[in-house]
Amino acid sequence: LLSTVAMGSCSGKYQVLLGQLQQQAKIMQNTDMLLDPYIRIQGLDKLNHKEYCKERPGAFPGKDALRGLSRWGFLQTLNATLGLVLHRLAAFQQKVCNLTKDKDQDWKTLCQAELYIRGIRNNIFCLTRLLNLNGSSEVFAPTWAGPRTLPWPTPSPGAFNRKIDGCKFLQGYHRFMHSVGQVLGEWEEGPSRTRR
Amino acid sequence: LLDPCGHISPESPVVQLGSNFTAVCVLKEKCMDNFAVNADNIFWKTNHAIVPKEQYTVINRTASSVTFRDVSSLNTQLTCNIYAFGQIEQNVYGITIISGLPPEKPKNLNCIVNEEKNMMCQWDPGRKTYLETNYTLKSEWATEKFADCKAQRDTPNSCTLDYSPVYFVNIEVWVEAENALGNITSDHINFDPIDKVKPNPPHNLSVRSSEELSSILKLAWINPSIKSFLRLKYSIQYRTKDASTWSQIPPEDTSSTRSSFTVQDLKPFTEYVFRIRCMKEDGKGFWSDWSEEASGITYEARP
Repeated sequence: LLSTVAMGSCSGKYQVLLGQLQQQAKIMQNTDMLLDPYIRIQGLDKLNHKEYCKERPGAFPGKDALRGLSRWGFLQTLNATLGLVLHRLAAFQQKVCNLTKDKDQDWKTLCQAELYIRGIRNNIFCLTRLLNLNGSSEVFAPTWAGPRTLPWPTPSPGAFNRKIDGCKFLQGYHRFMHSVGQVLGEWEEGPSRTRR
Repeated sequence: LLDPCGHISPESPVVQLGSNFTAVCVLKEKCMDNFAVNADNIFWKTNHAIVPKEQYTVINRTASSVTFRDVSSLNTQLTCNIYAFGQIEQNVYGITIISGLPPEKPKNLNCIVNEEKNMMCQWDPGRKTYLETNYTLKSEWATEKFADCKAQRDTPNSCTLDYSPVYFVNIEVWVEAENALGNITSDHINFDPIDKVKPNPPHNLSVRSSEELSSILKLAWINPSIKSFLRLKYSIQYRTKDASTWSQIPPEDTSSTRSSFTVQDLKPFTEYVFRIRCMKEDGKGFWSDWSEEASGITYEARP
């Protein structure tokens, strides 16, 4: 996969792009896209992971925080957060995804999820460009006021704890995407309507 | 190898069919001295047949050219020869002229995503080129380029991308065709792969009769897993066991995602055969193949 910027054209229709983002958020809420295969790959499925695999508070923006942002701010926050998720995934996948063959289904799902997240960022780019083209009156608002990097500054010591860290992280990610889907669902009006 | 007495240029030409072609043979001084010849003594052969002298032009003492109008044959051996000492036929140099056509603009580019498979795109490559021609399928998002997909030599009109389709992201796709005589690009198409899906057929189709109502049969099936990405509509057909033509359930009755359907107005105590297929609810994409057929018998009518 080559990752140089290309200028393949975006869909020029707000409703199409919004619909695509909503569908993507819906897909990404499913834990079978990332968390479940991660748990199996890490062998955590043999344990009662539900008990300790809970989202770490503040790790991802909450729904109310997202809802309070302007469209521009929301898209910026979503894009930045997904960038960090990709970064985290890349560290975990370590080039496994480049092996086109001989990947078991869970790794295939994980690698496909990475491509999907990049697809979401592509649509964010397109929607951001479309909003700009419309001379959107959105005022640039600060993105989610959370920490610039997701709060995993010091990974827990020990392999098992790091596995649990990953589990908590992905639990948070799926919840975050659920919130994203809900906020996007409230964006039914046209592109130029000013948010509160 | 023997040191050739001269050479022909161009060395390995590729010539467009129907065009004119000129080759030049240049003798080496040493040979001219050894064999007491000059450019006047040059004669040309194509596939061992002597070329008429009217097509020659002596350029100077050492060089002679030959011109072919409206080239029509595909591969031609062209040799430059002399009569050493006026008698002995001596080959100076030889080349192969390959001729063909530049690629035409690939047309009718279209793509299909067979469920659980990578996206495959097809196009019409146009006329035969008679030359080794490379067709490359290009694909990109607004923010990313994907690896080129090079069509196989034996299937120059299709290519299957080597990465899984990503639904809900518009992708731009086009074909670049190239051979020794030129290159050309198809029109670009831009679409969401979700609109190019050919689902797997519904499976585990089952038929159950109803004791209460002898004119109905209840169908049930399992939808393909693609249903988590798109809403489906169905085409259900049925016939009596011995009939050869199928009847169709009205499409408006099966126009949304479901996993069962009750067929009504059937004849009592009669065996019916059913089959079902599905596609994206809004009609974009392709119908799945038909499911396996399943049959059932309606109950006897109550006296």
